[in-house]
Amino acid sequence: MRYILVGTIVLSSSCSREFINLESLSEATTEGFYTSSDDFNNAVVACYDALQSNDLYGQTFDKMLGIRADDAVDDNASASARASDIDKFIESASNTFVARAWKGTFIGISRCNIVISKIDNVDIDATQKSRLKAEAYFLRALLYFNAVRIWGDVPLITEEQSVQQTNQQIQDETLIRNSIAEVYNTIVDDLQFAEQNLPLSNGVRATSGAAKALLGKVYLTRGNYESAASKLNEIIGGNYGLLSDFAGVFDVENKNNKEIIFAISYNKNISGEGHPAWFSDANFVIVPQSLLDAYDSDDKRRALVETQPGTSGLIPGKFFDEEFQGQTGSDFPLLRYSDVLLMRAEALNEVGYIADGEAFELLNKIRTRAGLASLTSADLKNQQEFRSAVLFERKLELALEFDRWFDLLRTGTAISEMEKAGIKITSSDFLFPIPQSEIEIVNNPTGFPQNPGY
Amino acid sequence: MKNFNLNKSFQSEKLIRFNLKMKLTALLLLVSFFNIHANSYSQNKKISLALNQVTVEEVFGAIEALSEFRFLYNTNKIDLNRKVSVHAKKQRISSILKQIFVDSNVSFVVKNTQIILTNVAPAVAPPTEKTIMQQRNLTGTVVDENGVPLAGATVLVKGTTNGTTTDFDGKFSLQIDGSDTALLVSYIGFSSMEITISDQDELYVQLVSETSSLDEVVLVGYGSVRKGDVSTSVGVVNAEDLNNQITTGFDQAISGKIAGVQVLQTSGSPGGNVSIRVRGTASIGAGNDPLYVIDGIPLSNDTKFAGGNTSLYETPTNPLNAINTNDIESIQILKDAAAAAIYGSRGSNGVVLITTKKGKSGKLNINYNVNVGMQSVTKRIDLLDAYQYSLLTRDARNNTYQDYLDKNNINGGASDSNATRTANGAPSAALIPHQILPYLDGKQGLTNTDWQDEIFNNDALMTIQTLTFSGGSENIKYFVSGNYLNQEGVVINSGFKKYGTRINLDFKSGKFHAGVNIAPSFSVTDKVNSEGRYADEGIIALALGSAPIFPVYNADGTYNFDGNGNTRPWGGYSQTGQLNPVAVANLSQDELSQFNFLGSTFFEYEFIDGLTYKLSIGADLNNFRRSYYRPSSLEKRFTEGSSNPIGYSRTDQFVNWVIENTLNYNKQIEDHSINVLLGYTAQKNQSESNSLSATNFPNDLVQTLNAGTVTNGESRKEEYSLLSYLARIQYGYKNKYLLTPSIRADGSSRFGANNKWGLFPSLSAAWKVKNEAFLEDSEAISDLKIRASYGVTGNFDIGNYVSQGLIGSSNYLAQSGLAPLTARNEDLTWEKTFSTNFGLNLGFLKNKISLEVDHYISNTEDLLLELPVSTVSGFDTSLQNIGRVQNRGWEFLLGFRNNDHKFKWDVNFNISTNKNEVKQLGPENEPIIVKGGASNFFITRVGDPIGSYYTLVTDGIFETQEELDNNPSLPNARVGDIRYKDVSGDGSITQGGNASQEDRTITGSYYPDYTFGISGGFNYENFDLGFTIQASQGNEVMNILSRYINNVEGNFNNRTDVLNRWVSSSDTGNGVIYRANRVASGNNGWTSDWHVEDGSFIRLQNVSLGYNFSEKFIEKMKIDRFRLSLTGQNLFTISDYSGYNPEVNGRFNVGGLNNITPGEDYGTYPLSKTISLGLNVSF
Repeated sequence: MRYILVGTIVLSSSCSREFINLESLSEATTEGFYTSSDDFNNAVVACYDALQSNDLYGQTFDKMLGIRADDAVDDNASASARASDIDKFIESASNTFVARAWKGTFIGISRCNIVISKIDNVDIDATQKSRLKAEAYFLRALLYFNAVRIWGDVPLITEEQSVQQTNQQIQDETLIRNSIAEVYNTIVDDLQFAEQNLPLSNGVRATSGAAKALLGKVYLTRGNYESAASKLNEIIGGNYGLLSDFAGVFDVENKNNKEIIFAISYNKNISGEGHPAWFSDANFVIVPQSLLDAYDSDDKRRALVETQPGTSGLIPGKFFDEEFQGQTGSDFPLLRYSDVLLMRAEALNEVGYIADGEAFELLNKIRTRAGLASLTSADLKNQQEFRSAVLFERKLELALEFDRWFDLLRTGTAISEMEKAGIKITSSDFLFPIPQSEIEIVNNPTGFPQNPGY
Repeated sequence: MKNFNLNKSFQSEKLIRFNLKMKLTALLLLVSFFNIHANSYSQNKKISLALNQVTVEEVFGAIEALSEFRFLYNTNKIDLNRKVSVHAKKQRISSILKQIFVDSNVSFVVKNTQIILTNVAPAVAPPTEKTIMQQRNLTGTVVDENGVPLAGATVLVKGTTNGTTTDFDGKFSLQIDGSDTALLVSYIGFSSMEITISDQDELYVQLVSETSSLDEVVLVGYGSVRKGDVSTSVGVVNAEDLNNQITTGFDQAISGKIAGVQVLQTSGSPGGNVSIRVRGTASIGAGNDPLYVIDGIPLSNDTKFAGGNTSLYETPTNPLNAINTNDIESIQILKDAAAAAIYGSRGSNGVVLITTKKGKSGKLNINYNVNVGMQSVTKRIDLLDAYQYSLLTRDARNNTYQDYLDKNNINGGASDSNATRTANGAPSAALIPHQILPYLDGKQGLTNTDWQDEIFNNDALMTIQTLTFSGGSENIKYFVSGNYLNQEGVVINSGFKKYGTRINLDFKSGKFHAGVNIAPSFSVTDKVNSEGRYADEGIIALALGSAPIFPVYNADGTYNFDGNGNTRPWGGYSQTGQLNPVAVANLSQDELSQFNFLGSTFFEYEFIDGLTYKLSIGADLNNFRRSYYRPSSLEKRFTEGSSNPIGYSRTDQFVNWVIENTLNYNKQIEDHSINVLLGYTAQKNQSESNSLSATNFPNDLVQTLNAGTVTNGESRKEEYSLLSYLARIQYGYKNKYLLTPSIRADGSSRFGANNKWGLFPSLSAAWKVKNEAFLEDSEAISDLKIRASYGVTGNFDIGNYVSQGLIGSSNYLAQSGLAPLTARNEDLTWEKTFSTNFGLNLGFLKNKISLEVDHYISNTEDLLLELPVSTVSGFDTSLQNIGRVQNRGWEFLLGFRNNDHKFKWDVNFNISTNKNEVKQLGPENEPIIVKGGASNFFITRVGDPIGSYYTLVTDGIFETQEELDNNPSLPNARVGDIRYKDVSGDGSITQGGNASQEDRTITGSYYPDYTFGISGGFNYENFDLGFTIQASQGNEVMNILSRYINNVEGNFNNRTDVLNRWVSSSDTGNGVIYRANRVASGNNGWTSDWHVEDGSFIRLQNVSLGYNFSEKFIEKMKIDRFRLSLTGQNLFTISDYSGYNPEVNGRFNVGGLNNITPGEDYGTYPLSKTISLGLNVSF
């Protein structure tokens, strides 16, 4: 008996550590994960998922970037989540969509950072490693590119960090809003790595073409026109091209056609992989008459901007896909070939106006596909006229594709164009507020201030 | 030890044994008059014998052949070959036996038909005449209060070592001589007794159990102490207090009995949850339920959410359903931290120790207990009838029309027809629905449905039956019970059935002691969706809100869905669609079955005197199955015609095992008594669930999921483990000074790598002033004890993997992605409660009056809170240990008893206060404001109780336009609307959303100022009467249902209060209820203090009148006890609360935040009162 007793105690003490160290059975834990190429592939897929989520492209960016601009209107002032405030430039720092966009952005960035920080220490196939890493860089660059255009200075986080580390940074006042220039430097570096290490084709995931197109857009946004023109030229004549039928570009039966360089993909038939139709907030969102009137009567693109009745409201033709189980499956075309052509045309014109030069050729490709007549130097006599023509063409070609607001900011026409739409804004309206909750948590008015006007 | 003069000679009649078959016959027939003459057999039987020079053995044979007498003897001691002669003619057996043994050393005893022969040692010297005369055999029987023989009782001749123990039948036989004056009879758990020896040969000794004395044993976890030696705060409820209650679970039966223990009946649904709160609510983010320990097995609270939930507000399953109240011997609740510290990381919310009944040595005892009761709803809410409802609807619509006319400067008025209204461009909400026109015309005999009548079953039957067999020998004791419970719900199509059995066995041999308890049970709950919003198909809310103008059934017998509106004409008038509650209750099928197995085994070995090792292994196994089907014949809200059926099936399995090794040393050294406990325990709990949902069933014929298309499937598995070391010393000096230090170390899988282990020390002390010389002899003061204790306990009820960084699925199209789901926190640890308790026990006049007072202060620190963090980290919240909550209060327990006379009675009164106060929250003490089920808010902030109601404040009604113009108001407010107070004083009224919350303030709290209970028992001759009163004062309810059934909009049926509504500046009603309006203008529905109601109540919890049939009768029936009782449970509640149940706490399942959103009433299953007839028979 005595021996049994002693035995029991000794035995039980020796295995006590394992006995109370239990890992979750129905979820993996961060400990012990991120070791195989499969783990990292799963981690990279999660980065795409962050962009797809309702905090970003799924349900928030149609308000933050679409309704904000002059190509859509939201008059639902009674909704508790106020998209109409964003439309009218009266959103508060507590606006739900602003908070969600911030949260979605930084969750996405942290997922990319996990891959970037951890993958070098793991022994997996070098090609696969560089491809996965390049995807993470591409997606991080995209997230930061949006963030810097939405909020201006933002905290630049390039390494994985824990809640405890973040809290420590807050305490040390080292968590600050880094300058726009610093952020862009990282974006450019990330995209340069990405364009070199991404494959030409990669299913629904990022390609070198996507990286080049995005880098071109970054250069253009920074006013680096020569780099933009040459970077965008690398894509022209490659894998991509214009579809002859404009409507076909958005056909849900014809996803990932050759005009799509990079899209945020959705699928209504898989639970959680669809989105609530964009611009369909219970019929309160309207495509304004001014936009419809901007199209020439022959313009084939007008029909895609007009709304059709869907199950939960009126949905613009570009994103129409009859709902199934409460979700819609149309893709969001983030980078399209016609965008690339117009961006190069814009960049070439900024480098120097050349009458009936390549820039005209590129612009006319877009116009003729839409069923419009070509424009010549007789129509657009100088750099300024061409500049306006490209911006106008972008408005028609890329309407409702969340690009208009950034185009207005990039071309310095936001105040004048919004005024035409009946909304008076000032330069302090160019940036969204930092979410109030974040301001309060960081609580560092010098290093982490709120944007002016909020 | 008490002096006791023999007051009852041996009555052989009482102890007659007869066979089991007879008992069962008697049991089943209940009235049968077997007339067995065996009781007087030895006196009446006459025998004739004529035998010459035959052996003793031959004489025995002859007697056994002629009679029913049987001889019992030891063949080694009795000389069977001795030759004797017997000549008897119709003589009694005693005289025959005298002839046989006249010159021998054999003595005999005749017990009924048994003749027991014993050997008297042959005297060495010829005995003197005196000793021959005085030395004799004394026999007797030792029984308990109920006449059940006690086997193994010690019988000792006073002042000698001459003694024996009673046999299986409680009998003893002892040789005494003339110098012996008294016997001492003792038995564990009973008061010892001294019996003066007179000249009887047979004694009948009835021992009295120690229940009322301070020697009563109180369990304190891993051991016990005498009640008089308790130095902590422990509440005790014994079996007798539970017996008379007609409840499905013991939890309801203890309500009102123990100071500082609140038993909340939050819902009346059969098999539904009852929540027990010990000394308030300490936790915001973790659990607040006490730890339940049944016969040493700590249960897991995880079973609460077994079966999942098909609706938002569903009440959890009661983890205690499996235990049969009738099997419970006693319940002890460890209230203060010093008492609970021995349970370490699980002790913060108190510990409920439940002990089940054990067999006693002695003859077989059979007990059958049955209660049959009728249940009915305790309360009805007064609602408008169809005519009143129609008038309200008309007024509401006329006012909407008037508002429209005023706004648009159109001429018109209430007399305008619908056509005119439409022509004027008025909205559909301003039209008079044609369905109400006949009512407005005053036509009689129209449909006038009382929906409450339709959904309540007022003859709901409840049956509880328990059959137990118990008894045992010196070495083996057994208790076997079987029970059956069938409760029909007071809401149609709901109910609860349970079948259970229990086997408790106890083995003892020398230094070995072992036991086994096994209790399997099976239960089935028929659930109805009774809780929560009308929009979620909560049938209570639907029944209260549904328009009385619609019938339950159509003429063809199908359910009428006209009230569902929408595409129907009703919906065309902007009336809110509501499903027919009777159809919802009857058509949906929802069944939850539970198989529970609770079992434990222990082995004990006493190494040396006082040193015992015990190994105990226990398991609590649970299997739940839920099947739910919502048929196509039940419409969906907003949709006319048949619906797409929904099926749901789920299984849950819980395996919870525990191993305990304890070493106990008990020793009394002169004035020092010492009890040392060392322990080492391990526990593991595994839970697993599978669930499937399906839809697209072709029809309602087959309702299992194979018939439909499975749309969702899930399987989950979780586990936790706990490893502990514990030690306790109970030290006493001169039985005056008691000191009990204890410590437990717990290691749990639930906590962060850096904080896996926690230490939970405690120290308690008591001074038994009564035992000091100056009080020892006091007649008036019979007990005086002062107690003080301090201890640390923990709360580990936080979910199994919250400290770990979990990876969750994060897919992109069909590609599987994985991303961090929760932030890893390696420092995460238990909440700690530091509690101080001061107590006093006082007894007067042999404890006829007793008083117990306790005062405590508990500080719970390191609260587990989900705090917002910078999203830059990749997370927006993270679980952290921060914050502090204090509970402090007083408890008084005052008892009066008098057992000295024929009229025996006792009354106990308890009252307790608890003040809950948040002391610290996150780093900035940011208040936690959360939204309830409607636009009602709860605030948890420093200085106030957890989860206080946070609403606007009303200031009457705007009576005049002038008043409206000169005071802050909402932009759309009109005369007759609610006037809200401008709490912030900024000249405007704002509430919530993105705007400021400044005009909201704390308007109440779910927690009472004090609670009290009165319970008593009276006993006169064969009658007994018991009662329990339970009360709570100062608690408020957030009555969200009032936003619907008191909204004066005419879209829901309303309470009759609205008959006193504001009509015009000259007819202002009761000054509280605003103007009828289908489109409320002044945001009258915003949650305000108008929805916060006083929930104070006094409830007659139980009254039970019993009649014990007289001894004469039960002797004839050959039974030990026959009792009839009439019991009323929950007979009435006095409360100002307008809803069904002032204890309602509706938000259980919502978001895991139920701690900070207490007391919401969104419709709840009403409590029922039960009147039952009971029968208890013992053999």
